[in-house]
Parts: sequence; structure tokens; C-alpha cells
Amino acid sequence: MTVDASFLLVDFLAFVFIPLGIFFLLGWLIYYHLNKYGIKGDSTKKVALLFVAILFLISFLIISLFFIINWNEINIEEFIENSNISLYNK
Amino acid sequence: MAEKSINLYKEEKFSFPGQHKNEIVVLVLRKHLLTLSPYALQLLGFSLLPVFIYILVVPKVFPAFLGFPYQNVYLLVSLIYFGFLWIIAFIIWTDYYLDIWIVTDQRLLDIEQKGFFNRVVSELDLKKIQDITSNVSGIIPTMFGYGNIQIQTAAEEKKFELKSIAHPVTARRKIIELYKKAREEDKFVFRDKDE
Repeated sequence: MTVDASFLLVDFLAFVFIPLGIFFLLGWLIYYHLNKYGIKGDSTKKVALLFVAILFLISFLIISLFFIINWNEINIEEFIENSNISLYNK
Repeated sequence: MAEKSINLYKEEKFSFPGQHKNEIVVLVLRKHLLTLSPYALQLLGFSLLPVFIYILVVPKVFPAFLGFPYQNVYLLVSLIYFGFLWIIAFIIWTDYYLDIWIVTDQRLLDIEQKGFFNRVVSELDLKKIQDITSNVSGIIPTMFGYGNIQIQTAAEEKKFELKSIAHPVTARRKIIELYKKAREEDKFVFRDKDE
């Protein structure tokens, strides 16, 4: 595994896999509760579906953006050099 | 009109887990939507945070975020943040939505959802109601028409309290109506037995 590939893997875990994993787990929990304990005939299912749909949209945008970004162009050292964090340290 | 807004359900299609046979759901009461406004304002504030940071902090501290490809990284982090906010909003909403009082033609159910894994269900037979009080206090509850209903049962049993519900007066009247109906039906049953 090259350095770039491992860097990409860490980015993938941090920006896609872990957040989406948490989204999926919490989303399922909410959907499950609304379906199990909601009043049948009420608008519960529609609202639960709306929630899941928007969560899917956000997840889709995250995945798309992850693949749009050219991770090879990202240089953390250069980024820190260009930042003015020292402004706040004075 | 008011009855419509507190969900007066007479159709059989409305049902809930643990419903008895021939039991009709008459009222479904939830807290007034306005009780969610403090959470909504907080979430709105938090959702605007990435925008404010981008406008006010980023140009001074992290100017690199203004250009490619770092701009996309900022957007990616913001999207993950929005995803979590969306989930928090729905956890709050689920808690609100599943916190419910169901009035049927036989009983009153107080279902309290505390987080995901804590659910308290209390039940009260309509015939055991001794005293019912509705209370609207404060400027905002008076303006938006929400308040509390307190139901006292026989002896020293637990007092039922329906907090911040919409149209408490109409709901109280409906519960009294159902109580009277239940008592009358009970009398008929006793008469039949006597005969």
C-alpha cells in the first residue's frame, strides 16, 4: 500500500465510512421506533420516510463530494503554513 | 374546528399497539408544536454556524479554505455536520411524536417516550375519573391555545397530567363526554345483570 492510498483510506474512514455508519444506525433506530410505536393511520410513516430520504440525500452528497475532491492535491503542511492560527495565539 | 386540530379520530383505521377489540380511538393528544420552538431555534443557530464560520472566521484564519480543493473539504465537513444535526432534530421530533395521550371510548393511555430505550405507558379507566381540570396560564399559551389537563382518579392513585396540549378545554369536554358515556354503558350492564 502506497502512502497516498493509506492517506485516502484514512480520509474515507473519517469522512464517509464512520459518519455514514453512524447515520445508518441512528436513522434505522428512529425509523424503527416511529414504525413500531407510532399510531397506525397517522402520518408517522410519511414523516419517517421523509427523514430517511433527506438522510440519504445528505449521504449521497457526502459520497459524491468525497470522490469529487482530488485528495492528492491536499497538502496539510501547506494548509497549516497558509493559515493564520498564530493570530489567535498572540 | 378545534376538535379537528386535536385529531378527533373516529375511523377504525387509527390503531395503536395493545388496542383492545372494539376499542375506538377518539382523541390523540400531543404537546403543542410550539413547545418544540426552543429546540428549533437552537438547531437553527447550530445549522447557521458553518456559514458564519465561513464568512467571519475562514477569511482571517484559514484563507486556504476559500480556494479549491480545500473549499470542497470544508463543504464535506459541513455536510457531515448537517447530517448529525438532522439526526438530532429527528431524535427530538421522535421524542415529541411518540410522547402521546390516547383517549379511547374505554380508557386513557399516557405514553411517555424518554429517549429511544425508555418508554413508560400508564393507563386509566375512564370510569375511574373523579375530577378533571384544564388550565391555560401565561400569555403565549393563551395566545396559541395550549395548556395542561389534570385528571384525578379515585383514592390516592397517580394524578394524570397532560402537559402543554393544544385546545385543553375542548379535550377536557370530550373526555367528560366519554366518561359519562362509559358510566351510562356501565349502568346498562348492571341493569342487565340484575334482570
